Amino acid sequence: MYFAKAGNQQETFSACIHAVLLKDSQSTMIPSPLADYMEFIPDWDAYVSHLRLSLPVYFRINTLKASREVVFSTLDSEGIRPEATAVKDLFKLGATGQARATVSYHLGYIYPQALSSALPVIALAPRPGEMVLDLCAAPGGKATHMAQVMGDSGIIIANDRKLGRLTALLSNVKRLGITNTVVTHYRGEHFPVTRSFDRVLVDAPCSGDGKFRLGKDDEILHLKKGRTFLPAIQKALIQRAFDLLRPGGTMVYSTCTLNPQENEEVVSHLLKKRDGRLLSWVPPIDWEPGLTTFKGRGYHESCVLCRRFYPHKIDSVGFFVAKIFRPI
Amino acid sequence: MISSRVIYLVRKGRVAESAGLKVIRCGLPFVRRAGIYLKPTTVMVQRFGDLADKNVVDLEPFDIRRLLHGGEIVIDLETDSGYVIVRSGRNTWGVALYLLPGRLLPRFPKGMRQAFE
Repeated sequence: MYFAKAGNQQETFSACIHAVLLKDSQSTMIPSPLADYMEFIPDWDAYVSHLRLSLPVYFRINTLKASREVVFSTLDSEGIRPEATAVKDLFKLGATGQARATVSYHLGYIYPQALSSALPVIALAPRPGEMVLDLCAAPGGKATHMAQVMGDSGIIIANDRKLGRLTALLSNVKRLGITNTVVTHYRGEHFPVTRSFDRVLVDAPCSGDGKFRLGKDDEILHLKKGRTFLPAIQKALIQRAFDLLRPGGTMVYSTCTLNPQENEEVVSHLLKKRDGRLLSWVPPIDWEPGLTTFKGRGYHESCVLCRRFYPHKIDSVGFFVAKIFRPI
Repeated sequence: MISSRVIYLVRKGRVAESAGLKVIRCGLPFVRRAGIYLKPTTVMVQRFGDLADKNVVDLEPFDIRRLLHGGEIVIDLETDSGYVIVRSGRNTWGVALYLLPGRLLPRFPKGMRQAFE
């Protein structure tokens, strides 16, 4: 069974080695670890069917550069009729939409992003004038969203460890005309604890299986290579993020994977090591509570306050969001 | 904040709290030295250009397209030679260089020009 065409064979061969193939009622091949998620993903058949579809393109309106009226009139002049979503300032462009080819993109009016990518910022809810840290900020979707929510006031430290990815971050901060952001270059888990922040966002590097799609010929269109040490990195990141919070401050840990080992297990690790409290929040789109068990492993009981977002329920990338409070 | 050729616009107030960090960039590029002129950056005029009431030129969409394709426009403006803000309708596109007598030369970023070629 070959998953991909020439040019991508080595990566996909590696994926095949790790694959556990599961044949469902539609003869669809689901690789590991996604097959294990049957244990908790609601309406599994709908999930598998949805994996065959292309994800729609969404974009966020940048209200710092223009009013909604100006943005819509510019989009309209290009023949673009976006659909509203349940998320404020987020619109659906349609399955074939090319947001980057529009005048609105080059004028900095829009930022293409997944619907679910807006959720960590909604959960964090930064306020104007606050001091906020985005520990893994590149390419800048969430940092620029926070700048917008904060009215371009206060200060955002947008950090990333990879110089290559910083280029995209710098470009997006500039394109959207943001003045309150300072871009820094540290390994997130080593970010100096010399100051404390009102809010911290950790959108952690992850295996990215929330983006996973099956092609029309059962090709794997998106499957990251195995990153053995991801949970270790994620645990170090969440701990450092918590240490950078001021007492009374709030942080959000998010990933675009559905893997409990990169989600609830990481959050449980923090709650074991630090005196953090998970907070409940109500997302604007369909969600499921976090897990307290997976494959016989138990997680912290408050993990039900985490929020899980499944692709077939929201028609976007699968996501995980945990909101954590540091008591005074 | 001033680097060798670029002046950055930063938020007053809490920016000092980033002191001591390994900073790659702070704020928005505002103007840069370009020959004998100070050239406002495209991103700055796109953000704040609607507040300008001097050194602004309003163009028709076909003139914008011409500038994006690298062409120049013959136009008589009531200003000295130097950079002007280019608007069309309610959109601020960027800057162009006005040279007496009556030449308007495009100064849009390369990425923007390539996107509309």
